[in-house]
Amino acid sequence: MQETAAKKPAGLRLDLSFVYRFSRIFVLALLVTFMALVTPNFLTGTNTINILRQASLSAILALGETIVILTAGIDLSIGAVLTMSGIVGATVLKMDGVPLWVGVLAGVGCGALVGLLNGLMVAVVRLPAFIATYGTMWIAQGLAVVFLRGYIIYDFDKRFRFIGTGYFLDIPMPIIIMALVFGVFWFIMHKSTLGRSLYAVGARQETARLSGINIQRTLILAYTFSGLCAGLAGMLFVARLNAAEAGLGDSLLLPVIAGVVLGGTSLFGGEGGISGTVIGVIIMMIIINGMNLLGINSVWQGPVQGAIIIIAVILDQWGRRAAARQQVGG
Amino acid sequence: METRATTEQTKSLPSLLQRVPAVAWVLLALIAFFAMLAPGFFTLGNFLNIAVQGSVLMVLALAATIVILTQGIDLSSGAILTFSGIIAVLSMQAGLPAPLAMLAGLLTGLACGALNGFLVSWALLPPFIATLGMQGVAGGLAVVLSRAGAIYADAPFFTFFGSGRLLIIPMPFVVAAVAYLCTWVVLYQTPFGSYIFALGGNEAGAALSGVRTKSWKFGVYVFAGLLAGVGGVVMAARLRAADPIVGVGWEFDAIAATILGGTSFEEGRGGIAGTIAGVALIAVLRNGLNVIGLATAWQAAVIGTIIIGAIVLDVLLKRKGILK
Repeated sequence: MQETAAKKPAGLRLDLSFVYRFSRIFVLALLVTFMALVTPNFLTGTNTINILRQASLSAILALGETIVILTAGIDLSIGAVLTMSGIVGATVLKMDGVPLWVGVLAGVGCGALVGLLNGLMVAVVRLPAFIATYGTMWIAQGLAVVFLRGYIIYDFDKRFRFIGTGYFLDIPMPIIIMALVFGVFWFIMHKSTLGRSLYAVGARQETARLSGINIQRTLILAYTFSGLCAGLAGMLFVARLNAAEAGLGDSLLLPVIAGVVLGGTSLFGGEGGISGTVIGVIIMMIIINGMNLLGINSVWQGPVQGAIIIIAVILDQWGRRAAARQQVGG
Repeated sequence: METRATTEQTKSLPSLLQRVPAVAWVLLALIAFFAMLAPGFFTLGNFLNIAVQGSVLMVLALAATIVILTQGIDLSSGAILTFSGIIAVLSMQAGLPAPLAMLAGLLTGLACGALNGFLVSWALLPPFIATLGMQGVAGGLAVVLSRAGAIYADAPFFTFFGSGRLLIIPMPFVVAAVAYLCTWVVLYQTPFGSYIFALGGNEAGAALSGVRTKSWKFGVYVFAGLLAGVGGVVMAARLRAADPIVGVGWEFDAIAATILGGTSFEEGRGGIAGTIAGVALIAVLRNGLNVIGLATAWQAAVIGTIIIGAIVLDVLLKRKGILK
């Protein structure tokens, strides 16, 4: 009885972990309200579809990045892998007599292959993830230039371009594909042992090893998935632009990592998840889109995105600590 | 007695060979390879060329080495280099005297480094994220301020640091040597240096024994930022211009030179002497591939592959005990 008396009435206390969990939805709502108020074009159907279509490409990249970050790693190569996969896929698509699906498969496979290489370097050679993936980033970017030989590959088959520009039941194809990828990831994260292993490896590698989780396999799979997502996003990108060039994935790394961080996945591993990432990416895309609508010169994108990453991590850590302290305190 | 000494010497010859870092063998092999393939490579003129080309990388690699010794990483040094060069040139265009403008460039690097240090030490960000964000901020501001194009300056005092000579030694090389000397003094002759090694070896232990780890770590990033600023000013002086993409990717070369030079990510082991060999390796590689006429398109991919391949090989051979 005394115990219950000592507790404050639950209704009056601000539950910080609750606030923390839903803070990104507040941020999203605030951002949408702000943008709707300052720019008349923001809440139009075309612009919303535009943002979601843009976000779906980044979200596919970000989903792969999320599972890597959950293992306390990082994949800095995704932008370059997207470029390389897009170009490899485009080259195969342009070959005579090759069916379209082979071209798409070549692009996606190329991404998965680079991802596998990252995974091997991190899991088997045990290089720090940011070194291994930074290295493959420059290699993939270099190979992309080699493949192009200074040209731009453009003008693809209509049926291929459908995956980037088409509609199914009035919904743009990229959004549908992103939903499918999300479904697959949701299944992996919540219904398979791999999902649990990813969290376990990120939270406490030693404990994970002792409880019989194959750490190497888990890490290799995480990086391979990330590469595969980059490959898929690369093919979608090419289909949408109807062209493949060496700068395809240049400005994607920062917003994608910012999206993952804004989505609440901890860079120290083991905490967060894919649902938050989708919200984080949408927040990021609204910011990018908003800067365009407000007529801010696009050269400001770099500084703003860099600052957002830093501020987001600081706020996230601060919120996490505050919530944890409250729980410990009572 | 003498015979015993000789047998001991012959016994220890293999272990002596083991002690020569792998990077030195690779460097020698590369020099031999390029010398055979291209007659223009093995000339005094070309070696001077390599020295000048490697100088800016050396300054940046010194920064990378001290950061990596603390188990940190700086992904922003290339962007800081660019940003500092832009600020120096812009200051000159605004009418500031060359020495003051160059100082402004150095201070820019210092300020960026201080922000990195604050984020890592007190905001507790993982170094790769803090410096990745800084890469976006500094690199982006360089684009904003230069209006996305090259900007020019040719004050004699300024360009002297890029293309002048002290006696017969090219100035960039002199700057790199001075930077090396300063870093050497800091690392091996001051308490700060011991703390750098302590931070990498056992940060918690250092903190428990009363070392103000946060302040010293902050100092490391400030020093690294300053060095990146020096690199940026020298680079701009050499080109007589600052360009918003001039430093893109340089952080990778600097980090690679550090790791190839034997500085380890794991326990504060290594030092700046090895980094010289790492820098020489990368400078020779870049120059040699140019001299033998490998298409520019291929160079990035080939160099990236060789560097990552060498790092992987180095780690694996060390683990198997084949290399020390």
